[in-house]
Amino acid sequence: MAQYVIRRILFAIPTLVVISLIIFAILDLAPGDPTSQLPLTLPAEVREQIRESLGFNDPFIIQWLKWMQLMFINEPLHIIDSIFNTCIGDCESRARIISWSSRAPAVDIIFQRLPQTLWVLGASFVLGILIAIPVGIISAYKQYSAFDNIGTFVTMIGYSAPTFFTGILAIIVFSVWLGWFPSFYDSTLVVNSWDTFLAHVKQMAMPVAVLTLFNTAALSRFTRASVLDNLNEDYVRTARSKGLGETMVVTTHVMRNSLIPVVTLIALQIPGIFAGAIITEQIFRINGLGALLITAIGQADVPMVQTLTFMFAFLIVVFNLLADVTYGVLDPRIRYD
Amino acid sequence: MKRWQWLSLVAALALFVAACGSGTVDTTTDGSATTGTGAATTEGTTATTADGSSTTQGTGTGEAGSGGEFIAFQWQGPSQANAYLSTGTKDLLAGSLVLEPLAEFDPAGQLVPALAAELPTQENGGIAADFSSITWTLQEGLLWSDGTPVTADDVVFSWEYCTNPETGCVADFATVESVVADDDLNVTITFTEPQPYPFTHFVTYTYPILQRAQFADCAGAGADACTEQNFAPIGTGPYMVTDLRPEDIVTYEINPNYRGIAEGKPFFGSITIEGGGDAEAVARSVLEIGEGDYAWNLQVAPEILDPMEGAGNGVVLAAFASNVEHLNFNQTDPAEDADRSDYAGGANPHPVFFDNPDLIRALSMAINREELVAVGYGAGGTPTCNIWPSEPAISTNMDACLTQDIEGANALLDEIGAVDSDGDGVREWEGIPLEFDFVTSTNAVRQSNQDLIADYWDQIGVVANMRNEDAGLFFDGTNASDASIWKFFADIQMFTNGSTGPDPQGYMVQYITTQIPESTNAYAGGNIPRYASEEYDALWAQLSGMSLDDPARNEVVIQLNDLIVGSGAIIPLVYRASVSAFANDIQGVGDLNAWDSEYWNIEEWTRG
Repeated sequence: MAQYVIRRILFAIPTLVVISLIIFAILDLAPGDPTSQLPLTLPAEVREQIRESLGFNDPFIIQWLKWMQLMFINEPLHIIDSIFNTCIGDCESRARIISWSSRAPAVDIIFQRLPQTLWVLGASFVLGILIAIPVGIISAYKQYSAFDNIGTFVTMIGYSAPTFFTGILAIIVFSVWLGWFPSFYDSTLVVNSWDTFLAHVKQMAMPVAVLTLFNTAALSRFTRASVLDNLNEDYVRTARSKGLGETMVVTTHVMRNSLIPVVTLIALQIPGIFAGAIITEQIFRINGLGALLITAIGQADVPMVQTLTFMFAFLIVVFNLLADVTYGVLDPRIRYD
Repeated sequence: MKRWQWLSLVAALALFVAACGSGTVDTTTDGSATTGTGAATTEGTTATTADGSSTTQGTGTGEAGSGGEFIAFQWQGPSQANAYLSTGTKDLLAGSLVLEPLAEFDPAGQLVPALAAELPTQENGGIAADFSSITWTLQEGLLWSDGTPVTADDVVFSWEYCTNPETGCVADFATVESVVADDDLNVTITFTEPQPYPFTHFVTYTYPILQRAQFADCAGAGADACTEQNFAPIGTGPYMVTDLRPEDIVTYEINPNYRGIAEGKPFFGSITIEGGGDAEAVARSVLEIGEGDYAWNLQVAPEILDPMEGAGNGVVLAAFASNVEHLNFNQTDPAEDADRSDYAGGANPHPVFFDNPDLIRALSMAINREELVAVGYGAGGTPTCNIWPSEPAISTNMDACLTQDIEGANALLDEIGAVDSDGDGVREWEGIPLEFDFVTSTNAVRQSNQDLIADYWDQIGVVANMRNEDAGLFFDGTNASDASIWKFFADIQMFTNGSTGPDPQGYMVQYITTQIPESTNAYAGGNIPRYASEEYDALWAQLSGMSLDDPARNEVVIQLNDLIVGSGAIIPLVYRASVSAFANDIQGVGDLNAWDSEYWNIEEWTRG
């Protein structure tokens, strides 16, 4: 297993380099202008000067190599310096990846946005797991019962109804008519008292609910299918005939085996938390990483788009490896060599 | 196990229920709360920021900053606050609360001094007799927010900062030869050639004054390391930036060294600009839910915006500058050949549109502009027949276009010989069927207007094939995309353009022959319809030499307008306004300012 992990990690590095090259090439080929939102009456010479100063006109290989150096050397050094309060090399004037729209270091903006994405999407992810697994297990255990049918119905609605519909509906009902929750997310809210905690829960409630509905749907169906597979296995019959209670059979034997593929699925979905739910973030004005990506694309802010997409690619590669390893650990039948 | 599954479910539900108990909502960390019915009330207008924003400066009433928090929604969130690096109006607005220019425009388009003591004129010696230079005098005793004095040297520095080619400054100083500080309070701008309109530079929120001490290392290549300066510039305005998160939120607190503190201005102790969402969502926040005090740039269809205003929490204001949504008719041939849409000295004319004013006038007559406004713009637009729509040079000569006349259009087309000879319902001009590519940007209002126009033209036997392009590509100034408006690889385009200032000279210049964009000059130029007219060129040259108080000036502007609109290169459609919403209890705003920052008089705003 250790050999397998090391081999995968070594493979990951050229994978990431190739991914960054492809992302760069696509963005370079795609037309886009960082000055497109400036007034039309701005002379072409001024626009050209702005693009020149941003490095827009540099040849694509130069831009990529510069970015590689900044991303793999300078940015990690900066992160180490800020965590451990050290000063490695030229820490004062170290070059960083600069966003074209805000002229600020891209990585700083990403870390600024991380909390709201993690809060909302993390909460909905965890809540989704907590609801989906029990619901899936019970649905499978009591197959075709009223609970199962209602569960199927609700999850089908949750999965099919688009978030831009359920989101706006939630705002209309809970913000406009009832006034219970705010319709936007205040990212500067600092939780340091009961009131602010309550305010934070209130501003999270609707987006988390909308996303949980969506997450629960897929996961509960998957869990249900997995449990159904296992309920008919011989070892379950053996356990029952040994005299074990139903609770024991389901929780100790069936659930553990059914959850193996479910855990794998969950591990693969974790990078999705960071990418953010773009539509939900837009509707509830959460200003997380998904919204950042969309704005950056619209403004042709190439360094920001590159840094973000590379970050997502990195997370996907890492969690892919994690999912495979977890699978190997949980299921002793799996052997990697 | 079953039990704990149920328990965890119940726990989650309990959390939910606990959150929706009380029926009041704390939308901010400060005291302004909204009640369950959605009506905005402010319980307690005392200053609530952590450090106590009610200032005790001066011997005055001490009211400055006592008004609490003001919440503004700019759905395009500001990226940074330095106007010279802005990527759009959103950044200019964020900076305008902090930075100020020498003079600004009021809602009527009149110049008023801001940091300057008075407006320079020829009488007071501010403007040279031959228009070759202008001298501004700063007010006495002006302080930056850090307490240091403002001097003419800061104005000189702002020019140096922007004209350094590596800065990537978005303001245009091309006509400025030099900026020199005569003494601490006087600064002289000398032009490369005489400028009868000398009020372009350091006027409006596009050209603020920066502090040399703060930005000294930020000119040129050093600009990349200046995030702190760009996010929190030191200024003379009523507020200072406390936190700026790009495209997310900007928070301000009162500037203790602001010159209006002694008079109790500004009223609000802190400002928060919330970004994110879209125009409809922020309109809903202010008008229906009452979560905020101001929402900017409400490009929302009237059928959605009007009921929101009807909820009674706020009011929608519209202000007109010079933005006109119009149609461009390509005077060159966009056929896919070697010189596609190139003017080529006049050797590539459009087979139908070139020198065919009557045909295009017929197309204009068929359009029902009232309906375009009713469907797309509501109070935020009004029909127009002029490409220059603003005071004081508003032409009335083209107003016949305001009335839709389908029969007249059909008759006119018959008269000029554009008849349907093969009976397929489409007219022909010299054998060419009147079927055109009609392009605009992807936008709900534009698409609905496109649809209506195509329908009107259908009734006169002209076919318009509608297309829409992503706005980022449509307005792509690098012209890497074939969809860009400057390339004009289509027959008809629709978009909005407008002058950045009330002076027509700098705007009408874009339609002279030397401004035609084509492949040989990298599509640099504002004459997008490729209109080439010696008469227009001569008239504009005449205008550029006339002084501002020449009584004949307006007449020349009107003539220029009539010339290009009458030629068939442009059909104006809608005179568009800036539309914003204010909560009912915000007072002192006056008219909305479309010529400068909408926050231009924020020191006068109060909550009543």
